[in-house]
Amino acid sequence: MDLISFVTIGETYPAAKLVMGILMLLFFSFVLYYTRQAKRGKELYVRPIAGLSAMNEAVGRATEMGRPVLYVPGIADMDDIQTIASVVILSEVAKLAASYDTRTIVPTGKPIIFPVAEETVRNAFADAGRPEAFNKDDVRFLSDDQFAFTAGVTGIMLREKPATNIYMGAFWAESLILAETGFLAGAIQIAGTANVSQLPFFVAACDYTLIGEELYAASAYLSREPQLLGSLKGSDTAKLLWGALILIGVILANIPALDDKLESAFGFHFADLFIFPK
Amino acid sequence: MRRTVPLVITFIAGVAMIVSFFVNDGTVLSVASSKVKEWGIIIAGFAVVLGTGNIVRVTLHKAKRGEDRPFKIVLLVCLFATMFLGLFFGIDKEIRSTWMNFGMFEREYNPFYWIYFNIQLPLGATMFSLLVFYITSAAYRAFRVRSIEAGILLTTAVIVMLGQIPISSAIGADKVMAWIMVVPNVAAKRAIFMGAAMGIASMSLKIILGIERSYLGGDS
Amino acid sequence: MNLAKLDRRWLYILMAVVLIVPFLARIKFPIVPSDSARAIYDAIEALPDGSVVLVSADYDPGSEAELYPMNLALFHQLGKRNLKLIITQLWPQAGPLVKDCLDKAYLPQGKVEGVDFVNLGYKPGGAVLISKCNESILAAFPEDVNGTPVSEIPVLKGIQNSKDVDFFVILSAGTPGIREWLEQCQSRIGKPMASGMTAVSAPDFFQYESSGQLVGLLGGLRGAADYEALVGREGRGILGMGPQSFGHLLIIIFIVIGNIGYLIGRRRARRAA
Repeated sequence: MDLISFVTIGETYPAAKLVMGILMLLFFSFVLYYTRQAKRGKELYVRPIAGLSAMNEAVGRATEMGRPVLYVPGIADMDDIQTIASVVILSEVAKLAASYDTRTIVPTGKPIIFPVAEETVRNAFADAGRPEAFNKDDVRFLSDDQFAFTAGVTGIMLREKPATNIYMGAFWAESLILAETGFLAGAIQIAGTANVSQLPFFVAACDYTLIGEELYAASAYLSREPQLLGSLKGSDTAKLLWGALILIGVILANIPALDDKLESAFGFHFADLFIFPK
Repeated sequence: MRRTVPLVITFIAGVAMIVSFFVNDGTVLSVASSKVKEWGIIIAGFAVVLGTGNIVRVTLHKAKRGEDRPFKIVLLVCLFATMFLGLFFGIDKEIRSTWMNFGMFEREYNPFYWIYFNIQLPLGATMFSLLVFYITSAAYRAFRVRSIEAGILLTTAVIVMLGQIPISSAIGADKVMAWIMVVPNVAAKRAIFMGAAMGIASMSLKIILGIERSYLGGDS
Repeated sequence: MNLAKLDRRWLYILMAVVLIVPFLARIKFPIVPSDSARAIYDAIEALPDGSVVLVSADYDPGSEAELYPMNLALFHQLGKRNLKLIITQLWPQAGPLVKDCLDKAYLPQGKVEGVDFVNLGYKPGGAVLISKCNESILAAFPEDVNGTPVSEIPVLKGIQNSKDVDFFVILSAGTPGIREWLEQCQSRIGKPMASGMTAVSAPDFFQYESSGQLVGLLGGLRGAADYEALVGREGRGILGMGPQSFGHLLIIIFIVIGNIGYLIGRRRARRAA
């Protein structure tokens, strides 16, 4: 058995895999470069995100009303990166709530998220200097059935009357059921998901909504840690490069003469670099 | 130590997964990554026990305190009844393990299967169908012609709704809907999706490199 | 009456009536299948005899209303053809629904388990499991739903991994589902893939259709009705088009009424100011 034999170009996958590898390395180096810059103390600007700026006010409102904050980390499992992003935000929200002496109820829909969420909230309370205030029963596993979970969460909304509902992570058909129930119960609501098809529902029924990648940027935004801000800048730079590549592709696809000229010069079409064989 | 070990494991597993994408099948790395994938499947199975344990503990705790006691009892009874029926009768349509049957269940469906079709299925469908009412009230409230943009949004929504029903082909709304879905919708979705994909990649990198570690619990 | 502040329960009651009446009256509309549905149907019809089709039923009772009729119509079509069928489930609760579809639509066409098809059952793991299938389906699913070792199942003879499958149909209600199949399977092995999904998630996946990664997609009950029309079997999809039509029309009427109320309110407020 050979130790490492990389896919040879032109065999299983042609250039596309190599190009993908190069782009990935470029992307990683952007992130690492800006992370290092940020560590050295370079100031990085992040545009304000309304939903995240409102987090403080939303948790504060729950405190004033003496009611809990409800935090729903989506219904996807821990292998969905949205769930991980959500747990990261949960850590900040729970810290905020703990410092205000407010409960954070976290219902989970997948068994593997439950211990992670519990640990996160427990640590957030410890970090806020109030480990004794952590209530084990506030982090719960409800059901891994989509609508049983939804019924459970709406039940919590109606019985325990949280003043603030935060939905962060991957949501599907339950998004509107949750958000509309929360709206009818009079809670202030902040949502965030990268499941684009659910965004209209959250926008219609919530006060603030984080769209797509804003969810992933949230941890950097909330914690203001230079390293996290640096990675944000790095991925934005990579996005500029991607945009440029797309633009080149669009131009070449629409001007065949130019495409052919390049093909005769280099021996392949620009688009071939990105196409996996059928 | 408590955090170093998970970070090291994360780093090794993450890098191995990335590299496995680029190496040929049958090499040490691809075999190793495939083993890691198997472990992932096994761990996911065990987590179910953990979740069930939690739901029992929290429910018992609340029932003892008298909070919503009848509901809590219903939950526990249903949980254990379904679990035991599944364990004893299997989850197939016909009862396979006859030793528990005692001739009591001479029917087409096994009791677990019966619960599935006659309780679980209608309950799930009922929750899903609540959506129609919530969409009605949300649409009634949210779709207001406050500006030109809101007007465009509303017109588009009406065309798409018409396009979903069979009579739409008589007035050509289905073709307009198909165009809306395939052109403007796809353009916007791709942009958001690419942004989100970058977010995923950068988040993954942060996790692999241990820059983002709050998912391991706090800063302590 | 203030239209803008209409009690939402009136909307709910009206909606319930408008959905139930056409359902009981069994009002039907002629169905003109979408191009997307036709593309899937034609692609399956064009498969040569003996081709391998993998159907992954990644849904549960919650989305049964939309995906079960699709599943049924699909099995009707597959049952008519001489194809090898592999069935998997990434959602634990899909099992009984798939079994029911097999009993109703596939087996009555003279198909034999193990010879014409294999039901590999449910396995947790989602994306990881799919990527494992790229290497070896047999390692990912060592035995079928009845506990028979896959090495002893005739229909799987000569099939090693996902690369040996000629056509994929993913019935997907969320995650793990079509997105994972596209990312872990289609983009890596490049085999044709089609999908049925809930109406609400369909707009997310048209981009994969236009990029050629999906042959076609069926969205929600309308997608199911389209496929039933193509297969020539009237089912819950076609019957559901009556209530769906009236429901959509009612929502449109509500939106119009809501806006009239809003505009009147705004004019009054202006006059008062």
